[in-house]
Amino acid sequence: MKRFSRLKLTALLLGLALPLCVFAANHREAPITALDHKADITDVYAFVSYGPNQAIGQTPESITLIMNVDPLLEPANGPTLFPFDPDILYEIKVDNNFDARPDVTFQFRFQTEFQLPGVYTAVAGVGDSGANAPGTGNLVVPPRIRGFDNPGLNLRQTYTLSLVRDGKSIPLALPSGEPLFAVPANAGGRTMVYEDLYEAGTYDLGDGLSVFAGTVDDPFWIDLGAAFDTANFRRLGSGVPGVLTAFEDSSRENFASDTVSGYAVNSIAVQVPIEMVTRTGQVEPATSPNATIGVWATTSRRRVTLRRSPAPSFSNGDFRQIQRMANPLINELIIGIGSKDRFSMDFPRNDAQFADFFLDPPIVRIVEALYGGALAVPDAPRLDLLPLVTYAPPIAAEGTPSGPVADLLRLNTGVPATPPNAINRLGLIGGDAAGFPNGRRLQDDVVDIVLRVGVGGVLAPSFAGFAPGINDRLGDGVNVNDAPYRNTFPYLALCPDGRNRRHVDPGEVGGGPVE
Amino acid sequence: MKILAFALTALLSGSASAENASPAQEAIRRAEKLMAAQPHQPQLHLLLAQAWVRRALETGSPAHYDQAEAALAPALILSPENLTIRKLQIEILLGIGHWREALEITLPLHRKMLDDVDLYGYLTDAYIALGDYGKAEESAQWMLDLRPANVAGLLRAARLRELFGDLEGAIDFFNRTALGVGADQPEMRVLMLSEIARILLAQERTEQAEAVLDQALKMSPFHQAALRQLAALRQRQKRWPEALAALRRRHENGASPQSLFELAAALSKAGQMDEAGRLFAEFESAALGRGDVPVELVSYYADFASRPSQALDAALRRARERRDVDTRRALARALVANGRHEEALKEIEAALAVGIRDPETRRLASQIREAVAAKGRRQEADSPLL
Repeated sequence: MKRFSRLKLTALLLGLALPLCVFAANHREAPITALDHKADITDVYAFVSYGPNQAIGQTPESITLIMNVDPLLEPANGPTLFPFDPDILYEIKVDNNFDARPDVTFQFRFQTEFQLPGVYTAVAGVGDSGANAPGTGNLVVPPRIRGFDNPGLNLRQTYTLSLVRDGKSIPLALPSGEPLFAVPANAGGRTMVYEDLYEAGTYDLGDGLSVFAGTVDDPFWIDLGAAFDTANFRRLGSGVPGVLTAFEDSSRENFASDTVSGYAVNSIAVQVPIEMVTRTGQVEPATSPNATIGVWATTSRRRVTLRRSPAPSFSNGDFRQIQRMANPLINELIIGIGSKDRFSMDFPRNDAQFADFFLDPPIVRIVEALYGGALAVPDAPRLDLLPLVTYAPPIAAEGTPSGPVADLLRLNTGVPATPPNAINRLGLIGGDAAGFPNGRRLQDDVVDIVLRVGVGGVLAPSFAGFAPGINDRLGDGVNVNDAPYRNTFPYLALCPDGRNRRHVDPGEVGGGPVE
Repeated sequence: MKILAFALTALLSGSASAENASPAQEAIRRAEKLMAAQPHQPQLHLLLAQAWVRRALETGSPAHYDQAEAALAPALILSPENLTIRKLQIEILLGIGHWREALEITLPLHRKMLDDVDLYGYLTDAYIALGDYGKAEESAQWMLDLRPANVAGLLRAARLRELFGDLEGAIDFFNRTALGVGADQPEMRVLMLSEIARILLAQERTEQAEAVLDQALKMSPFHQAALRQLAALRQRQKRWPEALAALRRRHENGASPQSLFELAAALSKAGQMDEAGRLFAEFESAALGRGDVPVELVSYYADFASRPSQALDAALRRARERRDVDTRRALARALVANGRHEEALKEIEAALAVGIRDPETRRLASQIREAVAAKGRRQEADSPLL
């Protein structure tokens, strides 16, 4: 490994920097989900819940689990908007005994109905009273949509939530028995008051459980265009593409264009008491092995089976997993393209078959080549990456059984949440113990964290060639989401207004440079 | 590559067909013409080899797989890492019955490319042939999981459904495969229709089988699988001259040990012993020359030649390599011919345990059980204790 030198810095000003496909969330990352958008999981989040008045060190009580699906939804699009797929089984799974098998599962199924099947669009509304036909006075356009009972919410979805544990499925519902409605995309201010729907669609089921499903602002951020132009990241303050200055690194603004700005995503969120997911059924301190859980999400469809099921459908049997996701980097950056679908469809407990990818990620070799050896990278085997794929410190407590090599988002439920105004986007490597890779919060800049951990080797014991200010300052220049998150469940930002949405492009205000 | 593509397009779109040439023969002719102009292009060797494999599917003749192998050899030297070339190599190995060699090449490729549905297909074929049905099912199910409507997966699943005793399910998947195969692969479509006809015949649904075969033969009057099933149908109907005509046509189109045996056996049943004898001798010579022992050799020795010890020898040689249902059935037949009924019963019951429901296996099992029971009764009767 070569030390970074000023001579090579000059050479790099002409070259490019960052690894191919450095986008840590999973937007269309595998061939199978490039074809099956609805089953494509874009991001999974798992974090200790917090409130706007969160105190430092406040004992954790609940966790929030979020899965996002169906990437890069254009809010201005119509007429059907972006329903969840009724044929998909959406699941968030929790392992609490270190064997990479689900011990607690939250299952979501959606149903669609049309309230005005003769009307051409999924949503329609105007004013407080709607609009009538001249002459007859019959109501033609319903009033602006503020609630789920408005007929203007033509395509309306309800969903069910079930908890699966110990082989039993328990429906979780509102105490009143009323249905749970999915929040539609924000068509615009004439049609609806989206914020009212968002509030109405945030349900308290009692016993510390809350749930939300609907179209929201895509909480992920990245200079995706640069990433896909063979890592042609912008040249920012340092003059070296892909390397931030100290000022840029500590800033809560963007220096490059967030390609995902102004786009929406379908989101499913559930907040649960910690004792519902831990092995002991209690809130455990961070020093207890029982505090750490493994989380992942899956989408499944009915499979075509070789052995026919006794069910009436001739060749279709149980649900078959189409995709899974846990950590925001594995299938994206680590798994070779010839195996991405198998990875998506296989189970975390079988991830030993991908160990070669985990321990010697090809992307690191690619970066090394792109930099001409000027950027030092750790040697394989990358044992420093093991905490991402096993139960191990610094996430899990000392003495926690490591379990099999498995892609799970490991969350230590005993680590208190960081108050929202003190959250460090760099998570654990930024000194924020409640951040990625200890679970994942909306505010965690997983692109920069992954670059620094995976490529920069910041978790490795100091290796020869590590250059402070370079290896630990890798980044794409996009530091924050375009829309503000909320400080209460479900935390997700409101869906952009479809009529007036804005995508922040390179060269625009807030979009950073083009070059 | 652009020039090559242009040349290919020109040749494929324009040339007139030789009279009565099959689609595969046409493809061979075109490929040979292209190769004559550019002999060092690996893609053209591949094209020719692919055409010979299609011909082999039409005829069932091992000689055509040999041609494919010879055509592919230069491509393997010129471009050994090319995946398409390696895949065809595997297909040829499977076609000539080199199952383990096919596995040896497929497995490392599969580990590098876990999403590749074709590789799962080759694994399934090899495991079915070797009798490892658990692994075959696993591979085939992955094919359906990764690509639910893919033709290659449906085909393997159809074969396994039949082995597991789900005949209606097998017909469904063979049908879906036939519908899913492109119009540029008529030989595959005919093969699927023939498989459906075969199952229908086994279920004694002769009218439906005839209707399906009608379709198949309209698409390809010389396809070995369609002619084979037509002959089977005509034999069932005791229409011997037509049965023999179909078998002769099949054999003339592409000789194989199997086509020789079936023609000879039909001639024998029709009382034409001289010709049957001649063809049996030819068959024996051809069968002994191949690496994989055909089950027909066991049947010949046991049922026609009255050479039980040679039948058993052949069956055991085959069983050393494979433990699939066909092998177990052949071994059971050979054991019966040698009076070893209890051992025969174990083999046939192992075959039935897979799920197979074909009449031939059930008839044989019934005969063996009766023979074992009769032996038991004789031993009881002879017991000095009674």
